[in-house]
Amino acid sequence: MKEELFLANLAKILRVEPGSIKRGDLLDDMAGWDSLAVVTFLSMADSEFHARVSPMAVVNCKTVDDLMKMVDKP
Amino acid sequence: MDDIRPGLEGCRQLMAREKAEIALMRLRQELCACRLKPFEYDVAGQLLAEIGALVPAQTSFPVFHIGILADHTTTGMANAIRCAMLIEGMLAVVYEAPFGAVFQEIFDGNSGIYRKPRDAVLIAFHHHAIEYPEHPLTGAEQVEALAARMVGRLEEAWVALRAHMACHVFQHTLVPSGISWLGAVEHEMPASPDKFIARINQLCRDRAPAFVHWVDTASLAQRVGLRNWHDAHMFYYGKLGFSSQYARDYANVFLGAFRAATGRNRKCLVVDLDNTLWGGVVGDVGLEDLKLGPGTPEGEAYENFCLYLKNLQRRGVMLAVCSKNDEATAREVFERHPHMPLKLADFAAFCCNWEDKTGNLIRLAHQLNIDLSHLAFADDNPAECEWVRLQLPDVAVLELSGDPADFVFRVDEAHLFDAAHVSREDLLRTQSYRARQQVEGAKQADGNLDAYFGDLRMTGTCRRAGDAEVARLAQMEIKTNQFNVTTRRYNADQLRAFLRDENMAVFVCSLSDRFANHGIVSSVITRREGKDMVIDSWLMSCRVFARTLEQFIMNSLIEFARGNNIERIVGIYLPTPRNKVVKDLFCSLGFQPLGQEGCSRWHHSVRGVVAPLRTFVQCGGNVTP
Repeated sequence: MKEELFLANLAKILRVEPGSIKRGDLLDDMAGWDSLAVVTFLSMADSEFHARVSPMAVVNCKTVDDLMKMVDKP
Repeated sequence: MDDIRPGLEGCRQLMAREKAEIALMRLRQELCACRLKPFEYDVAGQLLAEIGALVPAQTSFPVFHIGILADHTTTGMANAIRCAMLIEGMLAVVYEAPFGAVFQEIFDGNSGIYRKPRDAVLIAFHHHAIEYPEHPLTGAEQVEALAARMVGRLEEAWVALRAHMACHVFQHTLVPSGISWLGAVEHEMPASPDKFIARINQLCRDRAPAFVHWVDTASLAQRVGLRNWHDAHMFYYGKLGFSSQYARDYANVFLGAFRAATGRNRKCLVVDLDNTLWGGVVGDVGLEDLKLGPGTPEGEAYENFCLYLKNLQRRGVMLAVCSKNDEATAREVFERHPHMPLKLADFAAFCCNWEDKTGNLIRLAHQLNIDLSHLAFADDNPAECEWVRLQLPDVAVLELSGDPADFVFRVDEAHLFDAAHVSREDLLRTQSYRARQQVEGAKQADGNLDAYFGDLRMTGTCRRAGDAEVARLAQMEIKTNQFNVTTRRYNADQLRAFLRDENMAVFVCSLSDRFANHGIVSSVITRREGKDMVIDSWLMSCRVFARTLEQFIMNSLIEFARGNNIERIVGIYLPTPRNKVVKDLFCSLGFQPLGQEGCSRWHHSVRGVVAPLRTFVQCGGNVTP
């Protein structure tokens, strides 16, 4: 999984500066992490990483790292 | 501005620096070039929502107000529509009605949808929310009654909505669930869910008034696969009507409906030749070695693409060539290649030279007397495409690089040529525009206008319109921008009402000449006010104006007025950015000025002896008193 691409896409979804997101960041601390961001994240995971992820699994993620694991599964 | 990043991120940066206009232009380029990924439509849509909420007046982009009424979540739809409208050069300001409140919003005159004037309202239902037949074995009669009841309710809603607000109404077709109860013999079961949905869609189309336009989500969903379209996870998680993977496809389908409803569909597809209509460079490999026709996969795909274009032309889209090529060599392919389905006569214009394509496109538009916004341009070369996008943002660009097997789908899926109605005049379009060019050629060669008009052997008719002409009249109303004295844009229902109003008279005028039969090319709507006959609307196709048809029509109107106890005819000119061509029309027809208050008013007495205006159009049918 291309970490750089993942973080850049996540920054687009959260509408923050590219490079400002790190793997350990808490999702609850991010203003842009809302229900629309979840939907957009699912779309991004599907089209960019071919990962069909369950919405509830994404909702239960706590950190950026948790989100990365969602799309990095074999 | 050197530190502005490319793509969507750059647009966000520009917004942060309060450069909304440049941000919109950049975002439009990204969208037109199909460079955004599906998930980025949501991000772009949010950015556009911010611009729409904060600074719409600070941009040059016209604002399009649309309300969405749906029984499911509308966020993704709204974002896709914002992106779609930016492709069209407009900034959409979207009102999303409360979830599931479709009928409440429509029938309550104080609801949010009516709080501001809207250009359009979109209504969308999800198959989960409709009332299906209660039991799988419900009989055919009960199923039909249920479908009729649902459609009847919708009909009432359309009418109520329109009574409150003069706007376009867009309606999603219902998308089938894709689930069957009987499998291969599902069609035998009257209460089959998808058969029921198909019946509702059919009834809706049969019973919808002319102001309802279809966003055919059912066809789109079937094209991409119902299982893909209905993302069950997303429906149960957030009541999303369709998978956000199809945001771009949805935007295109919506735009097709919008263009058809507003007459903004493209009239002409301008194509490159080498590696667009055939494989290889004809000047290098020669006619015999082109990939076109059986023998190679690419050759078959190119032949099929040309056949698709031929059918597009047959149903009324003009084709034109714009290619960097030697003209004689290029023409030979259409004259001599055994597997080229397109012939030279299929093209309204043919432009082969080594000059910049943007200049050639401007010349082509001028030659055909159409606006650049009526052109679509297809080319295999990404650099040429990008250059045209940057220089001529109003021209829709179709990049046809890669495998020619995809070309038909790429043109089809862009929905640039969707139409609300196909008239006989559409089918004559190429013939008519070719004739216009011959006429222009004759005009330039001759220099003697009288001789040239006489040689055209023009015959015209000007008669009262009937119901049979309403569809063509409505089509002209939305499509005619140049020769349109008031640009009032009446729809089919209003036109039908005029036909029945004894104070109104609606005329249709046709023209033929030695080159072509142009069909109905002009309409005039007049209203009686005492002894005055006021020209409420007068339109004419750009194919035929300035040929003395104007004088022929005015002579016919004067004859009608005199036969109906009218003392004077009043003409009104309401200026728009696009109708300058008729600014002096009434003056040139012998009218006297009446005054000017935002519009110019003119009058022409028809009492006593009125000398007929000089025209070269012979009368082929009289005005009905």
